[in-house]
Amino acid sequence: MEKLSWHDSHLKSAGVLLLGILFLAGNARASMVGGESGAYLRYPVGATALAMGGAQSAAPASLAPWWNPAVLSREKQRIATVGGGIRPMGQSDGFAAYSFRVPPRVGMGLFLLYRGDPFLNDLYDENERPLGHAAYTTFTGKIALSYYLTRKLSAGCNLSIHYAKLPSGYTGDKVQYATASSIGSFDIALSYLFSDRLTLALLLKDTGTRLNWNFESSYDYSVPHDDRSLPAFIFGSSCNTSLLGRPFIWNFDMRGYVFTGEWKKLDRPEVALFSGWEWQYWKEFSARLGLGDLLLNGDIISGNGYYAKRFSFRLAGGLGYDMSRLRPGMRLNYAISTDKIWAGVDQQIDITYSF
Amino acid sequence: MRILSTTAIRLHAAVTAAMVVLLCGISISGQKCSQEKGLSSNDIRWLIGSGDTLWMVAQRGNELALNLIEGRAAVADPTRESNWKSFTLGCRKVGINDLIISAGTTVASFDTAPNVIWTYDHGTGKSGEVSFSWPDDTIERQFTVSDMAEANGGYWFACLDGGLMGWDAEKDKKTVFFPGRDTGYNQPEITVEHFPPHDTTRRVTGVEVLYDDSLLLVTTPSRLWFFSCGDSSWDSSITTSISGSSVQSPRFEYLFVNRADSVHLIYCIISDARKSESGDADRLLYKYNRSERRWEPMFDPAPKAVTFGHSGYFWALFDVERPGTTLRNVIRLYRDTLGDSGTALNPKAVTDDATIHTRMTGTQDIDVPGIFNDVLYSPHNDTSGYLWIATSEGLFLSPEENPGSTESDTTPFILIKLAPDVDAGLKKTYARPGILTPMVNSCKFIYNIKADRANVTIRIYDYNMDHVKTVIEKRPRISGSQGGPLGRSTVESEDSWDGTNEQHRPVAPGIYYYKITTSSGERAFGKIVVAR
Repeated sequence: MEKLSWHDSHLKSAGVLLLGILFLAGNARASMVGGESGAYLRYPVGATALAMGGAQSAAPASLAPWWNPAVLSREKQRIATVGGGIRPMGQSDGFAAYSFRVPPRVGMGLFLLYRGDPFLNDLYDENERPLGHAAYTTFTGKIALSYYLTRKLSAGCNLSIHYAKLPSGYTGDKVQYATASSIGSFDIALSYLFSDRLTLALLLKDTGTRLNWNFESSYDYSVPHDDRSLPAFIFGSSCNTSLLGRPFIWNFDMRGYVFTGEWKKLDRPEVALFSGWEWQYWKEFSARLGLGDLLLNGDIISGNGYYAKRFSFRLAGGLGYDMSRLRPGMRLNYAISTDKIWAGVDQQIDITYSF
Repeated sequence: MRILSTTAIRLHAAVTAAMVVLLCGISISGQKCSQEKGLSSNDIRWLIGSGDTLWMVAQRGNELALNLIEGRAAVADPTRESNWKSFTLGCRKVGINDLIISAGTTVASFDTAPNVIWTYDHGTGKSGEVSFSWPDDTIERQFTVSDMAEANGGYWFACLDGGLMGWDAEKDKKTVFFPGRDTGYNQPEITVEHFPPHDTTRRVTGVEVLYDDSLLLVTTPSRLWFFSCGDSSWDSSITTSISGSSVQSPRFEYLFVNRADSVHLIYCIISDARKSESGDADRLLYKYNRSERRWEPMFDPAPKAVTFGHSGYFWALFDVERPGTTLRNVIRLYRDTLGDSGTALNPKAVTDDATIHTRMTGTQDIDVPGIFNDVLYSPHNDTSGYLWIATSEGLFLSPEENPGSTESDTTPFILIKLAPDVDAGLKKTYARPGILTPMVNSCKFIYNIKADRANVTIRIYDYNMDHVKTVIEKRPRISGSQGGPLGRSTVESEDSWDGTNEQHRPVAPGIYYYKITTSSGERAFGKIVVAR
């Protein structure tokens, strides 16, 4: 493993690219993504990703069908992952993935995500009477396909199925639900091996997610709502090098939201940065650190105080434990992260098995 | 709004008592609806009352509920929850079209249950249902009971395409009449052939009782009729000219009859049917000039509700927003002393717009409610009565309203509202209601700070904890123990979220989280569901 050196031309290129991104991000104005459709799709999946601040798009160590289907054709082993997580406000995750290679050029993967809030116990009606227990539930399934185009370039896509169930009203203290589903949304990804150490990725995610809700109203009629998630443009990089002679990985993601779900330009596009580091100082343990959901926008320059009021970020850390002594190829990952509003900490844990 | 005169009540007390026995005897599914003590909702949509009896139709979640208070002693203490009865008509899960009170009995009709009438016997406190049958081949026709009246010893139902149905409850005889046709059809023998072709000119939308109880005023969309219950004759002479108007094709939408004095005054909301189809028709309130036999415009725009007092006094509730005219939540007191021989367009109000608002907020340090839904004056003697105002934020009562007196203009209203205690120190906070639906536009944040005074910030976040909106930022609030409204720190006019982001765009359906922080170091979190 080579040492990290600024004189490396590849690292210089990455640095120039990063500065360019920061410049572009700085010219985007304040967030308006908050409250837009698909918020549950924007939160990181997997303990490795969460521990690295959500920066995992270029070279995901696991859960590639979610993060970047293009890398599936380069995976040398079959990988299975299962895990879950909980957040201080009650949001919960459960996820599983399985990926495999079909030699010589194809990789495939399956992914299932449960995400929701099963702890809606503090809802009240308009008369301030407590309602019965309620839960918000979503399921996302993905089938991913990857194709090895050249030694440096691979492409991938996945097809998604979404299901959501949401409290939509109440009769007496009993909560009623509305459900919606979406079939056919997709992600497109490219993965480029810039060098032995640097991998770059471009993704277009959550395209065409369209949940068709029918919210029941009074007098037995329903109000339809066409809920289309924002497509996300993602640039990711992963630098695999060494620090103090030990393997060191630096991931960086930039996520941009430019269009609405109907492909109309957003009034105020948003750019968020994610960066994470993994250092395997010990043989069996690797330590991870991340900084995610960092908004950089034009409000910093305007100095109107708007940015400072809404400034939020995610500070994360975690560990990876090699469980090869138990079973070769098995790895346990744990992540802990701030939740952006300082209500508590988010946690995720998963087990990855490569075979 | 619709007040049966006490004379009429006395005249039919005996008959109604017999009806009650029969109604309860043939009720078929009373057990499906629940009845309990207490109020069911603060969101009160409309009111029906007579003397010391008040019904209010309230919205709770996706259903309507009925609340009842009756008796002089109970009305004297209306804030005591146990003085109210709550009826949850979950079995119907429909809107309530109309409600009438006759001596001893209340009858309600539903908008999507044409075959069912709900009854409540005030004597026994029991409710029940009565069903009617219509021909099966009725897909293209509507038989909803849209309006009701009690006259000539029976009930009369405006059944839209089903015409005017008279029901003699004592004999359980149902007879259907169509405007302009003197022949009636007995309901059990009715077949599809008895109904005229789909013809909106014969669609009966409203019915009111006039003078003696044998004369009905019947509304069809394009014409008004007098109907004599005795000889089943129809007379459309009341549909005459409409003065001072460009209305070419009148649509008679809603009748008001002022029976407070010996001369019954007839008012009607009329719009132009042709413009109604294109959605730009203005709705005006017209008064019937009996001597000139024409309708004269009285209010432009038409009020949302009207209720009549004695000596020509009446209250009108306006909620209109159109180019050049904005009247939101305005209740004005007027006086009409011209009898049935004339009127003035947009008469000058006796009180100004602020009077009612001041009386609502004056001593209770609360906000003016967001939506005024109805106003009802219910006399208890010749000079005074109860004035009830239904709002989205509770019911307001003036128990001794004496229209025209300066004392009444300054007397604060009593607020009747569900408002449980909230623990101080942000130990308990919640959004009211916690689910935003197509019918619920906004929620209020209910909280109570521990510090006597502090600056409060409330922010909304989505599932990913992305910032959605700052509801309030560093706004001064006082603890409920220091005189905060309703014993809380919430200022409902400000501490409210309408389900939009900072750019005022509606947010996507999903779960949202709020964070309340204070300058005194208190903080709390909670959840809101947006389902619309």
